[in-house]
Amino acid sequence: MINIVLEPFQYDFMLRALFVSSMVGIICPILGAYVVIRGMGFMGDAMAHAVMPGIVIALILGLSPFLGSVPMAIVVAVSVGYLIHKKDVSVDTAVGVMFAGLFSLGLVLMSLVGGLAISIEDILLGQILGVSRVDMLISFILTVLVLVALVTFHKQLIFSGFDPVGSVVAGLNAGALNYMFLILLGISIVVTLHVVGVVLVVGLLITPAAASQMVMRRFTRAMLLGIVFGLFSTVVGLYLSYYFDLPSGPVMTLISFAIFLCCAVYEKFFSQTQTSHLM
Amino acid sequence: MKNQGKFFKVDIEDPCVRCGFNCTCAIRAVGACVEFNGSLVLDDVTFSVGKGVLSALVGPNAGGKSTLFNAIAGIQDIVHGSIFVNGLPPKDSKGSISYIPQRENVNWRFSLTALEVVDLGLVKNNSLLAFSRKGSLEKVRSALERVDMWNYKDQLISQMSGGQRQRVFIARALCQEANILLLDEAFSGVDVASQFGLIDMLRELKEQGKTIIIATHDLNTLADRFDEVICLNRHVCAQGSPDTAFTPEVLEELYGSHPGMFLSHSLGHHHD
Repeated sequence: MINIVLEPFQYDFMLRALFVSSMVGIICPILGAYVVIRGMGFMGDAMAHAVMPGIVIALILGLSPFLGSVPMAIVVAVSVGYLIHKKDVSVDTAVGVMFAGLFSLGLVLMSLVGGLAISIEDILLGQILGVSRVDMLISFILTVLVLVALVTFHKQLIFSGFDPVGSVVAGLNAGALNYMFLILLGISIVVTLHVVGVVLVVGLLITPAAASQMVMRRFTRAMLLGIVFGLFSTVVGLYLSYYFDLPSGPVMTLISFAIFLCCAVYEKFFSQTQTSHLM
Repeated sequence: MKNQGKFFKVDIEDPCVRCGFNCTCAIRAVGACVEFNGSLVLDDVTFSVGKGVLSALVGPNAGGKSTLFNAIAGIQDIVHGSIFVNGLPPKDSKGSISYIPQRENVNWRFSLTALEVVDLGLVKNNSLLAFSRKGSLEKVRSALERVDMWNYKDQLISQMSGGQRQRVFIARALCQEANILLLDEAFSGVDVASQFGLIDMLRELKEQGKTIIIATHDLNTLADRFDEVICLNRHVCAQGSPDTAFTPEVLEELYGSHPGMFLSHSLGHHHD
């Protein structure tokens, strides 16, 4: 049994993959808890697609994809925040238009340049086994940054999400909090991209969080249970992909989906928790 | 006060409608106007509310009650006129007002207990306070006990009745240590018995010095529990004690051609 657990990690690339997967398993459910409750799942998906030009430009320049995607994520987050604030058009429409445009720009850039170090499939479905030491270090720093910000502003984020007007009257700067949250979301999405790719980011972002909110009544406790679900999904997914030679991103997402189904069954038949808003 | 065409130019030297030049009112509005997309939502609103007074802000839906609250709270700009809170412009008096939202403006998907909601009243922009727990629980406990909700501290607010929710929000306001409470549609979704309980509790708070304004589109049988009413339909139609403010003319101005229903509801002659 111990051999089964340890065998994959005789390879450096698997150790790096485990490390980054664990970061993602922790960070996604925490951000996801807010994303689910604020009904921002589509925005998370859109932001994942919209950082595509940043990734491609970094690759063209021969840099770590992080060095392109992080600034791009911040630009996208600020733009989305501005669109939400302006309210001239519906948020879904504005975000949808931006996501399609930037994703297409990334694809066209990739096609024009050609011969990049990674393929379109790697970007769409993740390339966890190709994570370098630099990527690992950047993932760690970004994750710590996001966690420190979230822990520090936990109550402010809850207040502004729960009672937007009351929190502003109480003196909170709701605009700054919203921008901060979107930037943290963008950074977390960038870290997650390496693990599951553009297409499946939203799966890890919202599925463990939604599952935990089904079975745990209180918000903060649900967030902690979400971390357990997230870590289980990414780490077990990594093992299964190693032993059965499966793509790691989809396996991780499938495991979190299975957890969600189990929670749905539990909630339906065994729990008193009222969570109809999640379905 | 100088009349400049349609609007008035007002400054702090203008006399209060209640107490003249030496104004000590909690809230004073003089000729306040708010504009959305070129039309006036609030038009030349003038009134004042003394400290330690329980007032009802009465008017039809879309009559500008929430907008006026937002302007008093400093989150809605006024295009003309002035509003003063404790003698200061609203944006300089943040912290002295606590706003209790109407239920449609709360995200009930946040599964928070009564204790957690009241604890939010201690959150300021200074993030370090999130870690400062010393004395916090005592303040939260004291606030919940003052509204008779300590026994429900671990219950989710989303699963409470309308009256219980209002009590929890009032406890949050007490934690904020604000001296002015604005309650937006506080009686919406609250049964009649709970409405009386709420109003009695608010009267106790006002006796302790809080200034309280409750926005409502219908006072029902509660009118005589208020010190005064402010009738608002884009502008202030009347302000005064409940038994003098609701003249037929004022009700006509507030509710158009169907004021009779309101009249019989509001003055203790509730319909069956």
